[in-house]
Amino acid sequence: MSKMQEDEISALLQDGLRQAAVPTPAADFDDRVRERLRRPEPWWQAFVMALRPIAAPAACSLAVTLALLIVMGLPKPAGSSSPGAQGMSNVALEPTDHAPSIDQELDRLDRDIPSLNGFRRKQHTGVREEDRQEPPILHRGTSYRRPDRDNRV
Amino acid sequence: MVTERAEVLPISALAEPVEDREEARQIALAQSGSEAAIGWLLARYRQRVVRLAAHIMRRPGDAEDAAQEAFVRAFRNLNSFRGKGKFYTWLYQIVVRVCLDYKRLARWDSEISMEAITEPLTGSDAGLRAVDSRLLVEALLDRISPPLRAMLVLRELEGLEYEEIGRVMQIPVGRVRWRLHAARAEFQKLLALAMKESENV
Repeated sequence: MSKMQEDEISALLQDGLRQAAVPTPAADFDDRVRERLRRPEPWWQAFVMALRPIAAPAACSLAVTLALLIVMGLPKPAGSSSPGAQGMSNVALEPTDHAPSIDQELDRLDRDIPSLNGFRRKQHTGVREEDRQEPPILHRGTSYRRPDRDNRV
Repeated sequence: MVTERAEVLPISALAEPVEDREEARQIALAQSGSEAAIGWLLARYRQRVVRLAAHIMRRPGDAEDAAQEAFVRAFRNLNSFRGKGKFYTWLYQIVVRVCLDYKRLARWDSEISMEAITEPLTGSDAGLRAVDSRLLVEALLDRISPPLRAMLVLRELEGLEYEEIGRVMQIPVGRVRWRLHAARAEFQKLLALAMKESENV
């Protein structure tokens, strides 16, 4: 809306509002106001009036707090901590029959790389007998806890 | 209740310094419980408050009740008026709140048919057309929501500045400008629609 149009609308509104019929207050208007002022204000009305300025912010604050409590207090569904993890869990839904063979193949490739030979030697010398057992195959999207952590106090 | 066209100056015309001083004196007296001072303030603002309530509520029957309620609330809380701003912006703030809260306003609905609005436009006589345009403005105002209508009335009829409207409606000045613009645009849209309908008739 252009400035001119806005001015025209304003002029039309001013004319219409000034010419509009308005009620004339009754002759006993003042007396009725005075009479009501003489009567004591009901306690609940004063209470509501006093509470009114803080009622809306308090209600909003309560709603936000409740919403946060609900969102934060809900138990997380397994494997859905983050979008990335969600994607990983989707991968885990695929058939995993070939997963050990992939691991073995990757290990074989690692062993074949000459620069990783040093690690292979360390592994042979530094690994204790009880730790030599095969770690569980860690599929994507599943949680794995190291066994030694369970024994910690 | 008598309904008539009353010549009441806009509130902005009252802002004379001498009158302001007298008003401040009367307010101080009313705060200390003077019945005469309350009468003085009633006489000064009665007609304006009833008119403002009538325009916001668009129900002449309820306007006087709302005006009385507003005066009662204002006089009961007169001590909370510290004299920082104009008395009328403080009073109008109460009036607008009472009008918008008024439980009978819950019956307000904008479902007024466009035929009912365009009906007054069909007259041909010039005098009749003037009456028609007044009726048209009133009918279109009926279709605007009460808060926007209150702002239009405060601006166009009472001549309040944007800052004063902001104090009355308890919103920032920027939002006053935006809402007034929106209200005028809404009014223009309704007017165009009414004109189009009247051409079809």
